[in-house]
Amino acid sequence: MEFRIHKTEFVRGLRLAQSIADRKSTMPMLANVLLRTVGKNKLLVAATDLNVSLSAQLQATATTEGGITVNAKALHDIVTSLPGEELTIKRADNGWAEIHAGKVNYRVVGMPDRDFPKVPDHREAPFADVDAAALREMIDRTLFSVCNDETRFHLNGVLFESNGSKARMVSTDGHRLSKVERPLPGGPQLTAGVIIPKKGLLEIKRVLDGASSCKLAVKTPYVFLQADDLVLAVKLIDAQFPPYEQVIPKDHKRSLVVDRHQLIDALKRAQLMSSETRGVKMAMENGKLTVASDNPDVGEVREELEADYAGEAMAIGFNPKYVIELLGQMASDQVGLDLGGELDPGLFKPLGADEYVGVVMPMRI
Amino acid sequence: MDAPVIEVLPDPVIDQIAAGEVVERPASVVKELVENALDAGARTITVDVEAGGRALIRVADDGVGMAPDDAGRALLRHATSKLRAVDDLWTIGTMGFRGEALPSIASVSRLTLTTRRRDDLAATRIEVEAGRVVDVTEAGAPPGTTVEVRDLLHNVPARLKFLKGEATESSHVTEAVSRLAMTHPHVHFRLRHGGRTVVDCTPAAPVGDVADGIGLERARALLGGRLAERLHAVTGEEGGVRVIALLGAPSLAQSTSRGVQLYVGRRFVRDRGLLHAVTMGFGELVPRGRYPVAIVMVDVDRDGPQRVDVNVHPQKLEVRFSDAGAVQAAVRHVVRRGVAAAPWLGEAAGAAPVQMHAVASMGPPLDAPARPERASDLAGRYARDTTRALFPMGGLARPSQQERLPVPVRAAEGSGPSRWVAEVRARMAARGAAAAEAEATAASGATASAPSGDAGELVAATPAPEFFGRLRYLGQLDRTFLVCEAAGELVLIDQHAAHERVEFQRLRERTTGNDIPVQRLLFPQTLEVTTEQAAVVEDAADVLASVGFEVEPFGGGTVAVKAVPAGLRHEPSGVLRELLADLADHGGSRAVEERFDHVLATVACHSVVRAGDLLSPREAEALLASMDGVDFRAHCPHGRPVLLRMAVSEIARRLGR
Ligand SMILES: Nc1ncnc2c1ncn2[C@@H]1O[C@H](COP(=O)(O)OP(=O)(O)OP(=O)(O)O)[C@@H](O)[C@H]1O
Ligand SMILES: [Mg+2]
Repeated sequence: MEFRIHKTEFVRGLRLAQSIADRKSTMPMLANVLLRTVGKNKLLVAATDLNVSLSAQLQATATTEGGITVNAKALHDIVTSLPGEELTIKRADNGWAEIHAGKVNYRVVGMPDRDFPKVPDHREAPFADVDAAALREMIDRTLFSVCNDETRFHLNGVLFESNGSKARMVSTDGHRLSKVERPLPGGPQLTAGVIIPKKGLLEIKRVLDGASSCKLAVKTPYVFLQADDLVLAVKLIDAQFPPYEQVIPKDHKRSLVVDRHQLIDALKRAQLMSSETRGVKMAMENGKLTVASDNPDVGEVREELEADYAGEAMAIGFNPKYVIELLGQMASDQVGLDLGGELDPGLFKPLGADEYVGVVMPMRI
Repeated sequence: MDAPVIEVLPDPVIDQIAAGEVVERPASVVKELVENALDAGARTITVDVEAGGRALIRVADDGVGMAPDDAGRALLRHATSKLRAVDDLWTIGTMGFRGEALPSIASVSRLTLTTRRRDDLAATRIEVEAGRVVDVTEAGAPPGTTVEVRDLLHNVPARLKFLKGEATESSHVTEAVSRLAMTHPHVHFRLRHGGRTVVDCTPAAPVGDVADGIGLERARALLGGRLAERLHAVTGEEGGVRVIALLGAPSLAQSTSRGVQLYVGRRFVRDRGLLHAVTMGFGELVPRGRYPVAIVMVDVDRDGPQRVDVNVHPQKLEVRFSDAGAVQAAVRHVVRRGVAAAPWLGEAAGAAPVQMHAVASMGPPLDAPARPERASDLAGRYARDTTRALFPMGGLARPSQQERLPVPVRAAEGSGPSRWVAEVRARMAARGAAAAEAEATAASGATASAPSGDAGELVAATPAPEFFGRLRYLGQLDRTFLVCEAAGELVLIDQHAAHERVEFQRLRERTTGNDIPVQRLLFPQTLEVTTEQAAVVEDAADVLASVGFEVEPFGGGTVAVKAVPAGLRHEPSGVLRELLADLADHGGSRAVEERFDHVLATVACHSVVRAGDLLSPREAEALLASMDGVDFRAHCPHGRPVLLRMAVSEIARRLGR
């Protein structure tokens, strides 16, 4: 096997491959990237951690056909450091890979390509064009509230629902929840929602970063994303997402509207009164909202904000981190907060046409 | 004429008194009846219980059964087919020997005994009410014996009052059955509470490596997956004492001795000496003040030197050995050997294996360690703590007292602790002192063969004021211990234990009531616990709420968590399990404040540096300085020692200067 390839073209694939390749796996092969010639003008670059797989068909010139695998991280670092615009990779005896660029010659330990795990086949998947920016935005607005506790794997991803014209993403870590809806014409027509794991979403975001358009397909147990010549296959989490609609408050006793930026700033200031995240108290009464926090080790803070509020006075505690992260994903100037009692969930939503809501469970403080 | 002062008690009264000793609660009835079934050679034993055993207990077996005459006799006091001569008490092979159980039970309930020998055509049925036989009939029944006990203690209202709620009693019944099932793996046990199957263990052949006695399969079936998976089996014999042990990974260690099950000759027993032997067998892997999970069965050779008296406790929960020391040594050695070979040994925290033996390694070797000593005695704990740290539940706060906002902070602290806090502190201090004393005893015991004085120099006395601030910090050992120099001595400080203690004190000072911040959950999180722990949830909901847990029973061994203390940064299930085990252990006898302490301690534990954290000299010095304000009894809130001191003169002596 021997091929010639442009450095920038190669790095485009290797950058994704090295982030997917699993260095910590007990299967050493998973730390490697697969390089295999396809015809005379293409090079297949593939990496997988068995949950997220990449296959990229890059422009290259193959002199002799064949394949090899080498450590993804090492190859990425070598290639980015090489001089010139082009390089050649050749499989030598005993599994070595030789890399030449200009006057630089590397010999790198490789492993035979036949042992590389099969990446999921995307050719049969029902791809359809979708708006890459919309998809990316939906991911951003839900990813932060995914649960990182691996023992609760059904919460380790974002629920994705789509009917061909509209799509919805929901995530929760058990303390808060975020839900976004978007028109997504041409999107997959799913009868039931699927759960896309966090790592897969991070990689999807990476691919979307450099793409103006993309194709999406769900074919259980995978979701596929194609952007130009890059294809990601992400294994879905096979579990039941909790009945999220039930915890989104539908009716509420009290309703407050306040400037989003002011609220974020006030919460950040309140957060300073603590070494870590801790509860802040939000007290509302006619026309105003008081944000307060205290920490016996540091001190205390209180700040009054003008707010549109007419209900009876009440106070509720929240983890400020939850609220700040949520508000940061909104774009409107004003934000609404719907409340029941002081132990009931709070519903945050941007004012306007944006179909985005966040639910945060209160703290009793 | 005056009535005689001394009267012979009528039989029913004697029976009731005896019953008071044998029948403490439904679980004791179940235990006696199941033991009888085992003695009768049953292969299948089915226990049905209604209303926690208050309404009905039914034990059916397929054992040898009784002849009609024997059946009548079985209900008389001291009628037993099992014990013929007093000498037999030492070599007893059956579970029963007194002929006391059936009459005792019969005197405080409505009891029906139905029994048939295989070759008899019909069964005999005897009905007894409060000790009096009311009916004897022939009946149709399969071979074997069924004893039905209804309305237990109905005629002794004073004792009835002491029974706990249904859930608690049920869990005791389950425990009683499990304990007998544990050492009889060849018998099929079934237990149903109100028709719902709680235990169903089919006969498991005792697994090869544990010959006879406890079967690994059985232990797995009884303990449930999470625990049982991590058990390592070992057997051994020493001086006519046979030991079979299933040892749990140190990461499972608990704050109570609940996880240690001791059996002598298939009988579940409580024995401090044996408990200590098991703990010693684990050595440094399980920190002092915590207990491993282990199932240990001891059997003495009938012809050997060792004798066991099983007739020392009304419920046979204690035994007496003719040479207890030898039995303890055998247990200690077998457990140690098992620990050394256990597959989980290698998985303790990522610390490097170095000798760090609090006392023993400083002196002449006592028992040459049969296993590599792990780096720190915290290894197991941290293995577990680290796992938790990998799965944070989301950003959570440290406890705060929002309500105090209007009060200037300084003033609040200056006003001094409330009476409650003072009380708790006093109690903590007392406990700390007791623990230090216990440690001193244990330490001097451990160095018994070493020249006297060794232990004393190593065990910390309460340090002088400003002791810590004046220490010269030398460096960090194994990223776990701070190595310091004080006037004339070397001081090693466990960084995690120290920081934990500081943090605990801070939390404690800040908290003025049984109220800590609570994070509510969007979806109740379900948690698998033992039935006993599930019962606690029901009985102690308010106690749990006072420490920030909103927990509800969810049916069976499942509970639903609706809110957690906001100070816990990690997955709450570990703390909750610990807390439930603790509550199950101490019932209502423990003060709420102490449990509150426990949660504070756990919260503290989860927000401080850990073993393996690299500390800069400045951080280390800051930690040392902060230790001075702390009410130190040389123990972290979990009861582990915080520091180790060694006089320079002692070091000189050992190095032959
Ligand atoms: N399930 C049974 N099957 C056959 N015989 C039984 C059964 N239960 C009791 N017996 C007979 O009844 C006798 C009395 O039982 P009981 O439990 O009162 O005394 P024990 O078992 O001999 O001694 P202990 O009081 O120590 O239990 C037994 O010795 C036994 O002969
Ligand atoms: Mg008996």
